Amino acid sequence: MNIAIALPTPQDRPGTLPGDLAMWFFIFAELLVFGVLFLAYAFARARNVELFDASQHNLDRLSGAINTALLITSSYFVVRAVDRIRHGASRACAAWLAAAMALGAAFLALKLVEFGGKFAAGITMSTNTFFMFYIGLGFFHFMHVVLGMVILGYVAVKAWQGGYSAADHTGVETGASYWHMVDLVWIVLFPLIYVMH
Amino acid sequence: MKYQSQAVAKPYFIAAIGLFVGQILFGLIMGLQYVVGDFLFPAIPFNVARMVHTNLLIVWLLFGFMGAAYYLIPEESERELYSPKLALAMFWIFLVAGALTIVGYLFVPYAKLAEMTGNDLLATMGREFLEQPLPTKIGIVIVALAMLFNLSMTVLKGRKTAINLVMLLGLWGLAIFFLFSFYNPANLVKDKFYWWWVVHLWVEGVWELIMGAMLAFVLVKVTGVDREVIEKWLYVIIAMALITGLVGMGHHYYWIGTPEYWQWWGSVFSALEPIPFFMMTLFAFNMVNRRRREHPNKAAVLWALGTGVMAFLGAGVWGFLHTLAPVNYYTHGSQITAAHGHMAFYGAYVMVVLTMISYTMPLLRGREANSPKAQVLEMWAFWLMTVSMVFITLFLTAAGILQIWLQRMGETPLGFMATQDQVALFYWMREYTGLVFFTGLMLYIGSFFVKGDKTQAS
Amino acid sequence: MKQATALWLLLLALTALTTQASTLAAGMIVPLALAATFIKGQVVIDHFMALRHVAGILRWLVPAWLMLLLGLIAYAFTLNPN
Repeated sequence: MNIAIALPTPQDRPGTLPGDLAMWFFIFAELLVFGVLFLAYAFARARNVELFDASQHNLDRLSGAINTALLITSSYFVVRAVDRIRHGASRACAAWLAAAMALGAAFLALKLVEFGGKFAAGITMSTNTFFMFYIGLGFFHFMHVVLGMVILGYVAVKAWQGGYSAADHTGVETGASYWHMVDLVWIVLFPLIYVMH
Repeated sequence: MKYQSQAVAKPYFIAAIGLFVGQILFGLIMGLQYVVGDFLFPAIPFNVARMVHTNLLIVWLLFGFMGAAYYLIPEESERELYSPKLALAMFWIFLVAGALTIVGYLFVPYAKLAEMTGNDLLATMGREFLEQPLPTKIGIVIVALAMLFNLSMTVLKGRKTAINLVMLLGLWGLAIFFLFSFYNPANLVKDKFYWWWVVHLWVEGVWELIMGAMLAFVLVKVTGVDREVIEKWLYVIIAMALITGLVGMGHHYYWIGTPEYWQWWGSVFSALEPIPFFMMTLFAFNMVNRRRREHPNKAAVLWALGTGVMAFLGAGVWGFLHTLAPVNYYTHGSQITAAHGHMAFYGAYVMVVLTMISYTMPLLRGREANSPKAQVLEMWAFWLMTVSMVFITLFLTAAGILQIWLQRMGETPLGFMATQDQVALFYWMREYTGLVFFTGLMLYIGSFFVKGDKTQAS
Repeated sequence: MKQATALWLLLLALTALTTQASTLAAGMIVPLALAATFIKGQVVIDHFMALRHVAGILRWLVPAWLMLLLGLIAYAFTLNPN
């Protein structure tokens, strides 16, 4: 698979991180936070495999899979938005971002339905260690989707108003980088908590 | 000083430094009472000295923050303060209320004070840091609301920058969390749960916003680095501070009857609380290295860099030492906590207020920087106070480790008081080092009175 | 953009595969899910986050995070409480 030539260079300063360096420091710190949480889950599970496997059985795997597809697709839309602004198409960029946000909103809605079902079944963070992680990590990631949507919304509005151009669109790349991070984290979270046992 | 109304910061800073001296004096008294139990008994019992020591700390830092806000907000908003008169009136109300409260602590038995001040109407007293009588608490709310009104109006009508918005957000958070001091449920677990929201959600949450804004403000001024760069850092730092701090506060919930999951969330998130402090260290050094000018106020630059380092050590490293639930199981409430508390408060909040004072006071007194002679003295004060605080922390850490070992581990653990006798040597060393700190503080005050030739042109 | 679309479809296919992995024999689930996750993560990092054009250490921080994380998770899943 010859990928290297396929995608156009998504930035104008070759060799540097796309978007703002400050955002990347934030992304690195966020990845560290999620990494520590994921490992806490994995090693807590190792001490109580049966409980984790039995509890995981109660999860709605399909809901998790759909949510993964939603985030991946929204990430793809954000890639298209960045591509558009690189060609100076502000409105198209904003439209792709809006579409990405719509998928983000669908993710949040589905997640709320999923959590609602669990709460209705009387499951809380105190039920057991597995559900503590499931709810806690899920909620923490949920808040990141919300933050990501706020960032994308800001960028989309600015793009719509013509605030970016083919020559200067660091803001779009910055927002895109954060959104991809939120996606990346979920790509690990889904198999870890919903699938692997 | 660009705007006349910034001058209201001056009385706030003077009061802050005055109360700082009081705080250290009571610290020295308590430090001695650790080893000479009946020192000043019955005039000033240990619990009263402790109450005065901690309350003065909080109050003088609040004075410092308020002074800083009254200086910073007009300059950032590029307009005069909405109402300088209101700011000055609040200063006197706060000072008199604070002084009366301390006098009450010292001269009236605490139970009597509670009775006199209407604690029967709404019981809020008797909890650490929240010992203030009801009228004082209400006074704090009024002063805070008046200040927020004053500052918010100034920002609303003026230029909005990351620095003044973050500062304002921090101050609003401060006021809102203080309201939980009025909530005192009969259920002890609930009481404790919300008790932590006052001072500890301050220091691990909203105060970090205030600190970040103040540091950023001074760095913009002394380094001449682009505001855009500094503001970006500020956003990243406060985002991390809030994410790690608000949940990380769960490290106070391990053993007070709250659900067990706090041991996980508290451990993981608080273990990451050093990140924003580390970013602040990088931030301060990075900006100073990239400076576009040599500001004549070298002392202020030194304080700013010192804040970066000491906040990371005190709040970050010493916090991390005992934050994980399995470690905290042994260290909880030992001298390790005292060690962390001293260095964190000094390194983060004392130093950032002194940074602000160091930068603004010369301007408030009509010059860009103090004379080199005064600055040298101030830098001596910086090193004496900072190095002695490092040693105070190290001695308390040593005392804490020994205390935990003797009292909580091993086959035949000793009782609390028997253990205290065993660690007395470290308490003595801490007390001597405290005297060095006090000397540094006196030099610091002296530096305000050093005359000398006008500063060199910048 | 064609390549991005192809990668997007690849990610969706791998997601479906991961979801179905849970019906496989016990020993296969974890390796398969981890392998799929590694590929998905790497695609997002290299192409969506566009880190493959970056020079120096910053290019490798996120891939290293993914590798280390998945490696430690794999290790944790081999641990047995008994």
